Amino acid sequence: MVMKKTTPARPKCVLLDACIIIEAFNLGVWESLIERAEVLVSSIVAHEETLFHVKGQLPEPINMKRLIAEGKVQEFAATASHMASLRLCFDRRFVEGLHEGELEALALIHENLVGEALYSSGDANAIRALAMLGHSDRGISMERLLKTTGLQKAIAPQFGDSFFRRCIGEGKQSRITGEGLSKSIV
Amino acid sequence: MSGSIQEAIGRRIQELRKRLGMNQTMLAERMGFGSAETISSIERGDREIKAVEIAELSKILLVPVADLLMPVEAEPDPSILWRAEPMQGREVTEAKFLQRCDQYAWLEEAVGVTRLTRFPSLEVNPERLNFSDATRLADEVRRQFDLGNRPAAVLEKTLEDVYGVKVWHDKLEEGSAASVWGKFGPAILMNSREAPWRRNYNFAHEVFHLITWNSLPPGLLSKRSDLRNKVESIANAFASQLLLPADPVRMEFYARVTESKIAYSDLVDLARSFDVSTEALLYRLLNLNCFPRAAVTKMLGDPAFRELDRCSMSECWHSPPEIPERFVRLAFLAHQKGKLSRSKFASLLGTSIADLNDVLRKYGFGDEKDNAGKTKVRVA
Repeated sequence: MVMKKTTPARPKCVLLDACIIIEAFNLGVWESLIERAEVLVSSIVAHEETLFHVKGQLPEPINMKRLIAEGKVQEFAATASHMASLRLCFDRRFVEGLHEGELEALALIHENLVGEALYSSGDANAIRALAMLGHSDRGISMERLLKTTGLQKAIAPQFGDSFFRRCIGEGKQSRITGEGLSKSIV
Repeated sequence: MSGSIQEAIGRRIQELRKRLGMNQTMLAERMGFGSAETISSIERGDREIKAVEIAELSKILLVPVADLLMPVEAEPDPSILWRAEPMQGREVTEAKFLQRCDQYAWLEEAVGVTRLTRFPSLEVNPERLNFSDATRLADEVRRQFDLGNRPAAVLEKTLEDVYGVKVWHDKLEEGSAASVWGKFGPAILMNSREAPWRRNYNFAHEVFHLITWNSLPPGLLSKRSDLRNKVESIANAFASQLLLPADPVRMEFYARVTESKIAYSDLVDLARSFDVSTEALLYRLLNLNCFPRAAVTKMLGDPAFRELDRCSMSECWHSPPEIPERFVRLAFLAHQKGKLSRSKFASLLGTSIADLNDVLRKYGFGDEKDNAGKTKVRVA
């Protein structure tokens, strides 16, 4: 009997948040993930090394600058203009709950600067924001990302597909009610 | 971006730079730019700013990125009242303090904190202000705040938890404490380098300023040095009377007196028991007619008394946490309610995402996880 070789699904192009990168690193799948998927990061995530410090030290495998220089990860940069356009969509209370790296990533999606890349985050606020902007179809949970790249692992609930779908649902709801959106958008 | 928004961002950057007393060269150096011309062109709105640059500018200029991106007509900063003003770096210290207060207020709003007890505002007449006001107000505040017989032990927590006073500790090179009343409510900045009993005294002193903020605003005090000096003396008297209530102090003092004498060690112990300095205790005892002035002067000049005092300090010395426990609690709650992203949460606590759980454990919180569960309550 010939064993059928299983091939991982076609690599996805994904724009990753810092928390997904850390979680992938902690699960021991970071190196495989950047091999199997086309990984993009926002310039703030790429440059803000303090996001990844572990007790003041930078873990070598998440040396983002090196990975970018080696072409293993791609850096995409928005401008203040792009971020300002995005900022105008939300009210102050909502937007202050987001990190600038997440704001940039959302701006990259919203301004169509990263092609068809899907955005992956484990943060309720960032996932909701994606749906509030009308980009519900541009997100992917970490659980799903790992599944499609053949790296399935048991993961914490906030990286799971049901959490992701729940947050997308809440974001869609906010898009209707206007909660968290600026008055000019509503 | 339309030129007008880019120009508006540039103007805001210029305004914030000047607020911190920086020139274009200083900001350019902090940003790692080769020349001040880059800052100049950004401020004129001629140069597009990169996302990483706006993130860096927000850190240097001590404002949220969101505020830099949507510049509105900036309101003037509220005036901060210093007990002893720092001669250097005042602008940066004040801007950091105000930024922390704004973050605090944002967290309260995000988690839906509704304050049931308003911080009291008590009226005084600036022209007729005298030491009897200090006694009256100290008694009133001790009663209202329910501070009991050892007010210093509970004052800071009462201010934070019951009245929502935003308390920040900072390792200041100069200056002991400051207070402010802004849109975020009342707030106190405390120099964490001061001894714990000194900090308690400072807290009580600042409470006087906050409760009389409307009657004695910083604007009035800055114009009239005579009034300022009088208010400072009365705030000190208020602090002494608030932390050392007459009856318990007298009772504890006389309980330690034998054959009309009290041991130095008993006096030092009494000061530690009320969480005040020995000087503060001795002057209060003088004020309560427990000692003649000469005895107090003699004790304060006696090296044996000073040495005994110093020896008892180390075991009682405690430093406040860098970030207030209540701030961490609110941030934790905001994150649990999905109002604060994990990256922003880590950034507010001055740590990385990777180290966030370790920092939370130090404050007594378990690992954060998805916790959207709710339970029904009985409606009153």
